[in-house]
Amino acid sequence: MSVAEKSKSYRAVIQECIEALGKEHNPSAQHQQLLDVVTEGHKILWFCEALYFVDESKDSALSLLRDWLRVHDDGVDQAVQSYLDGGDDTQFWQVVSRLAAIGRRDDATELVQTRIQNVDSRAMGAAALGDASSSEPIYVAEAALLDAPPDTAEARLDGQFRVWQEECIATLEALEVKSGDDHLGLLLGVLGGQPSALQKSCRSWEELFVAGYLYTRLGGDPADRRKRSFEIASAFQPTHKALLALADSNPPEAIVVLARPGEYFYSAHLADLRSDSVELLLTNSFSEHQLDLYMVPANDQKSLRDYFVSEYALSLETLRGTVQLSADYLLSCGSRGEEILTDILCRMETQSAADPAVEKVFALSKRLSPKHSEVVVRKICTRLASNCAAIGNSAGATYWFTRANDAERAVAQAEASLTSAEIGGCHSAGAEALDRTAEAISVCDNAQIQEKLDYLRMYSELQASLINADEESSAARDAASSASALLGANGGLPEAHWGVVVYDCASILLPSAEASAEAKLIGIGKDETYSLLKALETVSASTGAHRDSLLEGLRQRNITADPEQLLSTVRLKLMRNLALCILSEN
Amino acid sequence: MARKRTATRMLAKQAGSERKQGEVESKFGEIVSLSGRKEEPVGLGSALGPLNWTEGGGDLMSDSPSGDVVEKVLFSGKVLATVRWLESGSSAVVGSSEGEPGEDFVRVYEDGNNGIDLKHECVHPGKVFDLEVTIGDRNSVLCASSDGMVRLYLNSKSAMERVGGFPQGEAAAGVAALSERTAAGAGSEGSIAVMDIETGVASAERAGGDGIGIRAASRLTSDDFATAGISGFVSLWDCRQGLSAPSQRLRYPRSRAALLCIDADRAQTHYVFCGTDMGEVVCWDRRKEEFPVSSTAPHNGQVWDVRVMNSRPGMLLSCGEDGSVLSWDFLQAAQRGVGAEEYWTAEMTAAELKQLALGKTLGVNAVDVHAKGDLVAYVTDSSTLCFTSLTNSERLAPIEE
Repeated sequence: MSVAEKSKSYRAVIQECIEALGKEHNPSAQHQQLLDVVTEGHKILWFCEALYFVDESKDSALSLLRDWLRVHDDGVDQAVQSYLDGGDDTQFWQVVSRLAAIGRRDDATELVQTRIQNVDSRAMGAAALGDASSSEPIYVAEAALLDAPPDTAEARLDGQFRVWQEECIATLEALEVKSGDDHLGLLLGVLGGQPSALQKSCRSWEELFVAGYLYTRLGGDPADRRKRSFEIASAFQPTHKALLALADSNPPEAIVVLARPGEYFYSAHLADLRSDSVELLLTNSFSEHQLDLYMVPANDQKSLRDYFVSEYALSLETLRGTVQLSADYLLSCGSRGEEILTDILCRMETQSAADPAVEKVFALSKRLSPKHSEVVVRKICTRLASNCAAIGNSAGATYWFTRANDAERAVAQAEASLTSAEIGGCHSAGAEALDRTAEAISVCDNAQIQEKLDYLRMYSELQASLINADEESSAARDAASSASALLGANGGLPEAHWGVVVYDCASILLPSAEASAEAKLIGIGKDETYSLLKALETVSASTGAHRDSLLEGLRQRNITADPEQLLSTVRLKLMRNLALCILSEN
Repeated sequence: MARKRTATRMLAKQAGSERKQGEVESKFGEIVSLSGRKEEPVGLGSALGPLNWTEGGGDLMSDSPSGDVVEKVLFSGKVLATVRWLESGSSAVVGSSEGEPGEDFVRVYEDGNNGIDLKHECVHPGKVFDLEVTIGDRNSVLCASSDGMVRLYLNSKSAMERVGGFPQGEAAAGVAALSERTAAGAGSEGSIAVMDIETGVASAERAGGDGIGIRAASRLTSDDFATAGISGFVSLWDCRQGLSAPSQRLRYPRSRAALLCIDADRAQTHYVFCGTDMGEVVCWDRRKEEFPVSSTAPHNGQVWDVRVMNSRPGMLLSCGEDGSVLSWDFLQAAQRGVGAEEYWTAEMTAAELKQLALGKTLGVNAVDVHAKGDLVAYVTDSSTLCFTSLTNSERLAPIEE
């Protein structure tokens, strides 16, 4: 896509907005102000496109500039018609000066020559009456207009235009000494590029801008040109000053001047266009004040464009729904833009998992580089996990810590859930919470953590089996099988929980009965019994603080009972069961 | 594809063929993309679009010579999250989701003599996550809020009353009106509550019903409702059995699938529909196994709302983050004779999918169709409330399988 096409695309969007805004019936003052801003911005972009992007030839730019003004006509033709319909002398000179100022010197000349014909007719009569002096100013005007060199860039650059302008000024000075003819003086001042004359002749800032461009920009002494630019610019709004800067081939200044806090749209897009067409360098034409305002690295040629585009993006970000537009702009600003976008996404309000903003942030984060995307996901998921943990939702906390790839905290939450289930038993709310936590781990799609916490799933299955183990032998066998797997070499269940697992499984076994009755109701198979006994002996063989930690679960589960006594009871049950298993085999 | 054609057609018309007095020969061409997007420019125009745009009211009907309803847009100034039609008259209720204190609201827009206009507004404490029209009084709306409360908005009084809520820290993710007096609320952390609308007393509660989190809730019958979870599970709750455990669980078998919205066919409540985070609309038949009977992915991005059109059998609306609003005609698909037992299980093709959102917009967060007509209302991240008609649509490009 060429720069011209890009510029046309920008302007087409703005034109749509102008049309849409223009349809409002009874617009408020704020609405009208918005329309004015958008309309002016459209003019600026169009001017920039005409001057810099469509054709490199300055001649073409000059003609396009006049055409641009013709589109934004402010009543010049009506003024001409009004004069032709019976205007007076003052009107004549005003119209001629205005036409000359906006580059329509041919029209101005034609008007002057038409009047000369009329004056000549009268002069012949007046001469007959002895009065021949009334036509002098108009002949001077005609001569000045006809002496003008071709209205081309070449004539301006090679000095012809400047010479002619100096002659106009010299004539003006002579006239001022002589007759103080204000009307002719105004026209000569316009042709000579006097800022005050240009300001008096023009009726709108667009006309003044074109006049300033035609008569003060190309050719001549740069210092003098600059001085006259400042004089004209003093009458302009900041928006218009930007145009002057553009016309003065100083795009950075134009871009900076256009920027106002919260209104970076035009600076951003103009800078974007300019950075595509020519190198956007910081020049010495920046005033110190402007450089203070915008501290951009002087060596980074792109930074001015990136700066304003990112500033515009940040202004969009304050509107909650348009953050994805901000993302579009920021992602065009390289690594710095990506960092800003990462920061924006990390700061977005996402306290609740039910908030659609969470999914929207995740979707936007996928547009970032993997490193930045991970930062955003981690930040949001950690925040959600912390919220879940704060209200006791261990399943949610585990899930979000897992999504955040924070294995340590996910495991900690899972462990807390398991401990709660262990203390409460298989019928407790803790067991239900553990079940949900196990489900959360299974759906979070993190193989590493799923593998690490697989024992949680098995423990949850164990507890589910224990619920019906008293009544269903199949449930009892499932519970024993789960326990055996948990306590095995690859089970993964921390030793701190072995005691309670063994105790729960042993609880399946009947406390005491006749041997024959028990033989018919063996709840746990030989191998599983043996596994439980081995785990029991590991717990029993421990000493000191380690033993205390292994027995803590039993202590929490059975507050009134002595853990040592519980271990003895469990051992007895398991030994009896093992004996029954061996006997039944034989 | 459809939106690109629309944008190009409208902007080419503006740029090329219409000239003001004194305008010079135009050198402008067609729209080209900015910032990498293929379809349309970004920035100001992307937000507003070439629509009949107005800050205030406007006629809903007859904007074109033929009398067809064309798209109408109202700009609200705040991100709109939910919209529901009230069944009395032509009133639409919207809820915002700015999240700043004092910035959110519930508004009622009504189509009156002077066109669509704002009728009522009520400040809402927190983001509005869900709206549900009550069953007894069809002129009132239940609002689920990010502050954990479920409130009743009484349109006749333009006032809001608290109905119930969840413990601090848990948002009210969804609400379902079960009967004239009862409503079910679903909390963002998985809590469930059935509450009396008038007294605010909870007749049943359960903490952590779906531990990871709930995104939406929908009524099935007067005794049961469904919740859609972040975990990819749909939990069905029967109030007669208590809330100790779901009466049934349905599952979407994709890893890390998040179900974002849910609705059911009121006439055949065994059919449940959900929208997912990957642009899919999924259908379950509760009489069969836990897995879906169909899944189609026409959206490019999250599906934020699905609505079964109860007045039109076999038709469904969906909307999503891609800015599209789609109408689904399962009945037409079934009539193609592909062996579907019932029309909801028919295989959808592009022929049965139509695009209703004809303008350029950001994400569409909610959609609803008027119970007695063709009017469709939808709300967007562009802060707009849009109205269109079921007849005002374009056929989609072929669906990517």
